[in-house]
Amino acid sequence: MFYNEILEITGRTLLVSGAATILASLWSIPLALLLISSQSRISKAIQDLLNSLVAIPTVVLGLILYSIFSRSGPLGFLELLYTPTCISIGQSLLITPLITSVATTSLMKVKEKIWELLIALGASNIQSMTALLREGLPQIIRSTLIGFNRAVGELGVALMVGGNIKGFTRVMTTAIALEVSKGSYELALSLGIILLALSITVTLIVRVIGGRE
Amino acid sequence: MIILRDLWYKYPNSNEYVLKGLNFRFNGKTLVIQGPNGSGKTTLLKIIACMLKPEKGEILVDNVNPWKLDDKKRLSFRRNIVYVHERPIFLRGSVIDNVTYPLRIRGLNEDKSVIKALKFLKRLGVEDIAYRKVGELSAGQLKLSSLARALVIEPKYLLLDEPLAYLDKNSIEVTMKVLEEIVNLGTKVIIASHIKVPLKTIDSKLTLFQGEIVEHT
Repeated sequence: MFYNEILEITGRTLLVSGAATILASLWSIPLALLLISSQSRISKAIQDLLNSLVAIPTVVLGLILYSIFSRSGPLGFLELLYTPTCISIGQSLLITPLITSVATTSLMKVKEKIWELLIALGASNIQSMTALLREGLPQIIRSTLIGFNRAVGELGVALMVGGNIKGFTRVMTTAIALEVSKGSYELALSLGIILLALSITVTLIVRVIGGRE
Repeated sequence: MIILRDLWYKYPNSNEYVLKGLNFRFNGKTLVIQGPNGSGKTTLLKIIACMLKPEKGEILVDNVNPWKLDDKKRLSFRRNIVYVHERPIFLRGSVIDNVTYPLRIRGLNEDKSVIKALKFLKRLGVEDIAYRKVGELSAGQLKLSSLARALVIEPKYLLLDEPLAYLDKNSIEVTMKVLEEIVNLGTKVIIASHIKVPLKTIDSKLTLFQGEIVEHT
């Protein structure tokens, strides 16, 4: 029973945060490519904005999303509040600035290294961007994993738009918070160790990819 | 033919001009640009290669100012001019991936690209490294591979920045022999070097100092 619950919560956490990461990558990576292809003031302003949003408190975002998805909110008719989908959407928004920011910075380094070569060899803009994507693949994977790590470990969004419903929206962080408040440290500690192991594993993968760069 | 008319250039975010009012005409097969480090040799090569836009003045390559062409025509135009960096830059992958890259982006299929790339690697005596990862190669091997990558294009103008750097005596001999062969086939070669270039025939020499032409023969 105890292990089943741990497995179930861990599985759901991976699924919800994995979906959030995929979702965020869908727009964050193209946005990063757009930002590095333009050197305009608007592009730099967007980069500054994203950098400042990296540290947005999760509860603030959770509160905003709650007011949007609650029954009386503008997207209340979707009835997504307190569903895993809503947590994924919230987490994807939370990690968008982080993925975009990390991807932009690291892809810019790749661009500085190879862009001139691509021009010298006669590549068109589209061919250059394709080559940049290929060359920057480790950096893209790295930024995505960093985003995943942030999504897995956040509490505010999952709690406020997920509701911590047992067997439905309960993820590792919300479960830990609940179990500690109940004084049930065994489950909290087990989940905490798994969360930590997951986070360390992802960090190690990120470092390995970083080393290969 | 390359004509520079009162050409000035300064890098973005810099107040100092790197090239100062260059006037020059080149209509031969081989040109060597000499000068100490920081004299503007590399910048001039990049301007000829249409990689940098002059700040003032104009450049004409075969009587065409590339900066007056639209993007599509300029791309097609600059594909005839290839610049080879002093320090070779490579994309991830093997030598053959890199040497075939300019052919593939010009629409040549994989098989034909590989055959052509191997031919040029063989001419430079480095066909044995064709399938090795670029990260495993010595500076000299990288230099020869980057030259092969430019030669496969068979450009009208080949611009080489310090082509003798990182090469041993034997590799220099092979490189010069290949360059003489391609010059005979119609490619115009422009070399920037701060040391003497052992090419048998040099049509024109240009000496730069602090961004100005101090000698032209």
